[in-house]
Amino acid sequence: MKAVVWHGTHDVRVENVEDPTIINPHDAVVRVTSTAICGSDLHLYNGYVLMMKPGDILGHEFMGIVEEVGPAVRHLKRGDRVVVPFTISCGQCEPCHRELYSLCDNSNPSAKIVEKLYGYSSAGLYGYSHLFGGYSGGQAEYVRVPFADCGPLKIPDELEDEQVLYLSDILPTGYMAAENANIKPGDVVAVWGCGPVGQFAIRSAFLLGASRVVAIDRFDERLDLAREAGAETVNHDDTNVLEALYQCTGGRGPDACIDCVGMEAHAVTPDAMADKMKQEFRMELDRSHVLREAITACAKGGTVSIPGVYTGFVDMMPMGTVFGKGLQLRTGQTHVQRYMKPLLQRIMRGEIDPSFVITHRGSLDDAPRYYREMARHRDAFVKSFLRPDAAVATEMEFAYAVSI
Amino acid sequence: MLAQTMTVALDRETVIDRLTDSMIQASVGCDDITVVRDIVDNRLIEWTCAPHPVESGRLALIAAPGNRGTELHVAMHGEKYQVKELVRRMKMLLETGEIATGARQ
Repeated sequence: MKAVVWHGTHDVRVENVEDPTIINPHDAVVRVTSTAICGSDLHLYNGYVLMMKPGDILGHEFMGIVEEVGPAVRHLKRGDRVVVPFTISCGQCEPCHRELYSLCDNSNPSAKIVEKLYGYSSAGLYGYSHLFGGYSGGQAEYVRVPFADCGPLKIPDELEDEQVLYLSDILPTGYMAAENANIKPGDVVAVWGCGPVGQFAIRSAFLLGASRVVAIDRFDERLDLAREAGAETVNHDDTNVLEALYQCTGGRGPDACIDCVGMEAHAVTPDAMADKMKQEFRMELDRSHVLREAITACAKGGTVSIPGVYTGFVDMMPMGTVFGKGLQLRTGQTHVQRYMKPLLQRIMRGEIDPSFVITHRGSLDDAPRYYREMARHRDAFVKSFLRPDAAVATEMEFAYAVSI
Repeated sequence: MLAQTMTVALDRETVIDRLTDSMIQASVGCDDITVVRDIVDNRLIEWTCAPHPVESGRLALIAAPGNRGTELHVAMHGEKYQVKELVRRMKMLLETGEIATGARQ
């Protein structure tokens, strides 16, 4: 089969690899009909995530048709059309019983390594390094889906792939970020980072009752999308973010601040430049300028929600500010399975159409170019939508055109 | 002896039902194993591994507080990481019936 394969920093290729098979009784094999490149895939592309190996198949946002199921799978059968959550969860351990699916005890075969780094292991993830299990990802024609009874969500035929693919990650991630922000009616919410997760966090904040949302980014096309959702916008390249936020909240600061940027924050402030240098020399794993700014901006007694990915240690955390203002910090990998069904219902009711984020449609063969463009923020890139069969379809159309 | 513990989301009776000799064998990774049960009201299980006596050990089953399931307390010789991995495999097999793997084939 064809797959998008990681070979090193800034080196992603499309290659033919062996097809996946059923290994464990609860496995399924899914033929991928649609997949995407996530902003967090760029952390792999840029070489900031530990334990990637050349030959690893990327991708954790995908959906498709069930081709085969293992003997213990009860809720799926061949031919079912499903969206697959990026978190792999067994459904049987205590965290899964509490719907904390991304904290699954049993799905990460590399748990002992993660425990050394973090104290406890979290769930396995598709296509996201051997730190999270070494599972092959969904930027491929086929994927092995472990614990197939816990997660893959059946999709009604009347919905297009473009409407539901992002249930696999970015829509639930944006929604959980807003839910974690403890939004009450009338609250002012600030969202740093207007990529796909930020866009869904903005829309979710309004759904949950925010009276105003202030969106912060430096790319016009992303700020335009935020404005379309009703947000006020701040371009951090030409505006002092803290002053702008104090100004528009009567000096109080936003009631909730959402950091949708994570470990690769860009800014030209002294702290951000120090982060950049330290990260280059591996003296610090994450560049946390946005998190510092969110903590500083947040209103007294407010909440800072952190869906942006952080992988390790950060310096200069203003914990005195967190303590002094009595802030709540809420974060964590998304418990995707918890949100898929209610968000599918919102899609079916027409409350959200996630396809608005798509700016680039292509095939798997386009993936290396898309990675480059995303990493360089070229071509007004917001979100990709890849169909593994797109190139085949093009060839068929060509053959048909030649035949007539 | 080294001790390691993990909690499974199953009550003690279910653990006792599911924890077959072959499951203990798969967890320990020893082909020639002898299991002794019914010790202290079924709350203690011991095994001996003939080829590798250092992998012999015992498992105590203790109810976790707040209906959180059962704590598996394993004590055996060997290295610390080896004992931890044994308990992890036992927990995976008890809760899911399989050992997670990232292998493609």
